[in-house]
Amino acid sequence: MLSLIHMYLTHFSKKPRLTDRIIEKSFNSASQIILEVTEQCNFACSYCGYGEYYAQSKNRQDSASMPWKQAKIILDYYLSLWGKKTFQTKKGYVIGFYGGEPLLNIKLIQKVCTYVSKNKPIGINIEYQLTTNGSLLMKHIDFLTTYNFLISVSLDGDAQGNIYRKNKRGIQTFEPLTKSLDYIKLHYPDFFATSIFFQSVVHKKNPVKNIYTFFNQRYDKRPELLEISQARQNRPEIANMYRNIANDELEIFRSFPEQFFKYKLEDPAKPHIEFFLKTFTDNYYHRYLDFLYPSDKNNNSGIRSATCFPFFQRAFFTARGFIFPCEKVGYDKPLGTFSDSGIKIDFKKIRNFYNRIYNKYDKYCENCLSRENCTTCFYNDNDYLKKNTICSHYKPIESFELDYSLSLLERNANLYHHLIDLYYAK
Amino acid sequence: MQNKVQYWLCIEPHVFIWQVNKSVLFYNSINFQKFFFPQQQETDTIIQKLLDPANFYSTLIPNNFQTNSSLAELVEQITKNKIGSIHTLTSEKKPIIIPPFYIFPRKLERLQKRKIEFYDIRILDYIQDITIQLSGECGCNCTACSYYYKQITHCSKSKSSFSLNDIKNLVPTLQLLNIRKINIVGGDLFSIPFMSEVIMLFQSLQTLVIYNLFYKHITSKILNLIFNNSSNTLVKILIDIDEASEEEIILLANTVRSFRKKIIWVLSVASAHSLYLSERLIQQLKIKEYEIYPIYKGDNLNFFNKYYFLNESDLFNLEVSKREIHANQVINKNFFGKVIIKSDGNIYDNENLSALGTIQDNLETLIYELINKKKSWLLIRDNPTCNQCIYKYLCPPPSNVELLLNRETICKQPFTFNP
Repeated sequence: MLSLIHMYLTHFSKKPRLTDRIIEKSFNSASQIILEVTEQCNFACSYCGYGEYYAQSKNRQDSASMPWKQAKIILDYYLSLWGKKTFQTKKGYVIGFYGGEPLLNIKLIQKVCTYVSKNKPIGINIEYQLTTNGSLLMKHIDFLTTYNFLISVSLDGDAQGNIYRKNKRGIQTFEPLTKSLDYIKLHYPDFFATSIFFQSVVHKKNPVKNIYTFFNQRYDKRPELLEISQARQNRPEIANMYRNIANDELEIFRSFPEQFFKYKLEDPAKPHIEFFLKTFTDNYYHRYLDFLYPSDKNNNSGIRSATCFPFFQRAFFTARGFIFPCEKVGYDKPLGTFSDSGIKIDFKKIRNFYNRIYNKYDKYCENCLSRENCTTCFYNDNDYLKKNTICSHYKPIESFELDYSLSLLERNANLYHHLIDLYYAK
Repeated sequence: MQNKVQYWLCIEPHVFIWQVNKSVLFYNSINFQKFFFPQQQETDTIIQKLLDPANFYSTLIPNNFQTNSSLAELVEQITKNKIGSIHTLTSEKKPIIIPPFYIFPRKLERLQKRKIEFYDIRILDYIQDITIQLSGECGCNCTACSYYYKQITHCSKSKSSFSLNDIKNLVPTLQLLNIRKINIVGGDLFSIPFMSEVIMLFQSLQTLVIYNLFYKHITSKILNLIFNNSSNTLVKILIDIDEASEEEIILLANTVRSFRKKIIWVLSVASAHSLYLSERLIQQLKIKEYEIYPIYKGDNLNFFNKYYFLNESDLFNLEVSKREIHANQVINKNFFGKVIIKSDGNIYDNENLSALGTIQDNLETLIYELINKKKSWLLIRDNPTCNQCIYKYLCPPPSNVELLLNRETICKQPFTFNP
């Protein structure tokens, strides 16, 4: 088979550089602030990232709760920034609550909401979000509906799927939780339809097909699927539980195509073809700005890693007074602290830290298949702090199975045609 | 048993094939070679197959193609201009070449068709270039005052001015944006009493700041003020060659030379004579950094017809890369990312169009509206005249001159290119 492929050989001539100005700007203009209101949890899920199978940080235990005084310092800081009237740059902001199980500290959440309602600048919309195991949902439903919370409930599908979700006494949580959810669905149908979402962890005893079937039948919803995290651990127990989502979806596509379309899943060939087009042609554009500055994914900074600029997405404040760029980066390297006396953050130090790591990874980015489409956050690499480390998702260009992709294109000419028809203006 | 030999006509992935009515244009976006091929019965099917994305820019041709004069001619043109090549294969499989169709899933029209709202969490990044008119007060009486600013970044007159407080309130917002440069224009900028404080404020932005100064307003004292207090700065000197005297320009050149700083001369020309003069002055004064712009002043359309609007041979000789062609199909590279803030507080995407809003409005909202209403940033050659033209996407995007003159095209006297 003859193949004529145009290799996208953009050469990055400068080292990746983040400036403290960008970081400060991101911190001050964060549109989401996440408050870890408590470290405590009433569940003991086997795969929990704060559980026995994961490396624990000295910066997090399981007992602290955020004091109101410190929460108020954070709120005052951001409410004053959000309130700058002239030339407002954003319409809406999010305050998220995280844990442990955040509803265990309902008093703090209630205080935050009341305080924000009284003090938020005119014309600014603030949305509240919560990630919960659902055990206390019914108890506080009236409060949550009053403030129009968007709630993400962790539920892994049917009873078998929830086998790893137990409370601290080792009792299965599926029955009481689904009973609460059924109640809420019946008595608060609009709220349930618009404001309750689900997250499900896919594992060895919980295939994707079962999860979709359960939620479709019981709640007419489609959950966000999560894989068991491989970061910050190296335990066989985790490997034994781990299950890959993409493989499952491919299996559904092959074996149960009618279910595939019923759940409105994407043709699994599509991401392969899109990856190929993104990586090996320069015809793919992510956003309008790419037509002006093709080599400039991030502010002309030269950074190709998908690791977000610190605080670009959100700022995460922990119960013990640490500041992180998000709740998924682990607790080892806080970027700042806060206490009764205020927020302390050194943007130059953060700049140096990030640039050191970007530079370390960048020498591999040049030759990596994903260089134009990186989805890897360096915080998910177990060894990102070590001096000599290779990105765990590094895929040298030589390793690319060109034949496979080209065969896929050949077999799926219609899909390619459909993609072009969908995206291309003749 | 031996497999039969098959002849595949394959087109290079950087080649564009455009068809309008009875003519097809093949264009190589790397070496810029191009040729027209008229529609003919013998070759039409082949060309249609090449145009179909599902065929991946390759198609079988008869083994005896050389006996067919039209097909042989097509193949010869394709190979001679490095548009493509013939490959002989004995297997059943076909070549795969990815045509240069851009893929942009988040294009506004696509989203609208699927009833999906356009959203970009970093939409404010789109703002790349801001022009701020600090004051419209000016004692000069330039005859073309109402024309310059509609065509290039230039001062203009108005009755309003920002106060120091207004500017202090503006700066924090500018700090939140990812702008690559800020253009400062007046009026007479240095009639503003607090200009030195303004310079310090803009210096704190750590972005390139360009002071666009009308030549009559420039003195050594002003240049000292700018360059002593700021590092990330350029000065552009605005001169209308038709109005300024040679003596004035030479005196100014001497003043400026002593600074050895980054100064760019922006020369407006409205006639062939001033075009000649500007070239002479550049040589005479050894000006290294300059920009020359033709300026329409209401009575010099002939100058534009002769020197600005494109004729057919100009179009045929255009050399445009694949990326630029993609850009021409989606955005207006002349306008995209530019925002103008006037001294009365109005915000524009283009001075030839109505205001987007004011500085009291939410900036994100204004940008979303700009995108959703496909204003200047997304103004492409999608009008009835250009849609009939085979050079449509080779042509530069609509410009300020076309907006000012209310023209659909940049070619001489709109006509359909359909050779």
